[in-house]
Amino acid sequence: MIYLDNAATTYPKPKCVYKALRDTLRFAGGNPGRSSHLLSLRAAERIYEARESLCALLSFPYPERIVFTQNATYALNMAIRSVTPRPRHIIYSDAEHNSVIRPIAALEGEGATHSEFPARGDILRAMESVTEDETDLLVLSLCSNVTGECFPLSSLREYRKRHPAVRVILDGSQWLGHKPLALDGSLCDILCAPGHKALFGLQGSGFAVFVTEGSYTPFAYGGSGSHSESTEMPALLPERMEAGTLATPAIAALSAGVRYITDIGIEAVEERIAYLTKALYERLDAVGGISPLSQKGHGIVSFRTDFAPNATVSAYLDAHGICVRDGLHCAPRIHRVLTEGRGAVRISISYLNKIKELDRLYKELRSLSSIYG
Amino acid sequence: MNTATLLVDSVTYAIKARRALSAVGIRSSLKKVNTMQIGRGCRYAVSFERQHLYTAMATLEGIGLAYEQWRDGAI
Repeated sequence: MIYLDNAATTYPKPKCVYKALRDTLRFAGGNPGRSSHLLSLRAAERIYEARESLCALLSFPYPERIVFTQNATYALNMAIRSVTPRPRHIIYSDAEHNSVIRPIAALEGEGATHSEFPARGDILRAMESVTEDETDLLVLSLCSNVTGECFPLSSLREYRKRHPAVRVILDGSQWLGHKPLALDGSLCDILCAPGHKALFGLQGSGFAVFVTEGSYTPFAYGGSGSHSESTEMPALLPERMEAGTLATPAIAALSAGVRYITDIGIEAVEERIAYLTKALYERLDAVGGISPLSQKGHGIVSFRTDFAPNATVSAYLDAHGICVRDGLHCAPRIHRVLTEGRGAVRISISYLNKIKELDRLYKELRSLSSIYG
Repeated sequence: MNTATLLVDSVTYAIKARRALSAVGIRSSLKKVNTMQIGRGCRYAVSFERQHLYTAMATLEGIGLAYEQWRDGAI
């Protein structure tokens, strides 16, 4: 099987990830932060090591400001609700995922408004054009899950300098693990990401990094293993935001995935992803009759063909042992702009993919083209 | 062992404290303590040889980690 749906979730994982999962289940199976016995403390150590691993990847010095969640969607919901409990005007790009669009739509029922800007061209100007006096929140994906285009960090830093009162939440879902990111307050207040994509963690793991200090409103309430005498959540991160038992095995696996990347070097990973993406574009071009939605993807290339509908392409590839994803990719706004809402076929690669797998993709697309073309 | 104990707010801070102490050569142990034991609600007790107390306090202060010194006997 050839797996090219890594933007949804990576598969396979590096061997160290499976080992970390197995070892944590067997040897650190207690509930972290709840007891003093060996297995509970080992579990807490595994969680803390994961915070440290992410800090090393992000050049971020505060492990305690990394809050684990079950996925990026939960992290984004939490971030949006905690950074400004009653936002007035929110801006986001048209490349956002439903994990951003839907929580903001829900806030609109509570009186907030929003504006969208195009995630293309002069992005700084686009952001400025929708910024109003009342704007208090910007939510932004660092890399489109449809086109693979990456947001220019320099534009973001400049916007933040010009609008210090606007809180910024970043969605790093398709960036982290594929590109370097040195995290500090010049970029954002909160960074959200899944564990199970390019960081090679398990499904059921995600996190939010609370980059700037401040008063954050808890999103969920419950046991935290500390200050149990109080009816309120603890004042300090991460426990303030981590209600209930954490997914220790998934988080330990994420930690192993992150260490796998940092051991290789994130710059080397970025270089390989760029190499594979270029090779993918070349093969799609050689098939003929294929129109990528963008020529600037990094790890992600979505396309439409003039010889078969999207669902036919993905079903044909599936029948020939190649996993890709067609449809709207939970990002309806960008598809409205680029495909008139008709969707596309998405190929998304991981560090572990090989050129010969892209050659097989080319061969099968050529076959499909000759059948339907 | 003649021990000293510092209480911190959560297991995250307890592990952070132990990492910092280890970096300056102080071996420590960790125990969760509850209301019944200390009358203050759940906290985490980081214990080590008493001779290191002032170095330990300075180390935690150096990384901005809040603690409370436990003075009321064995945890």
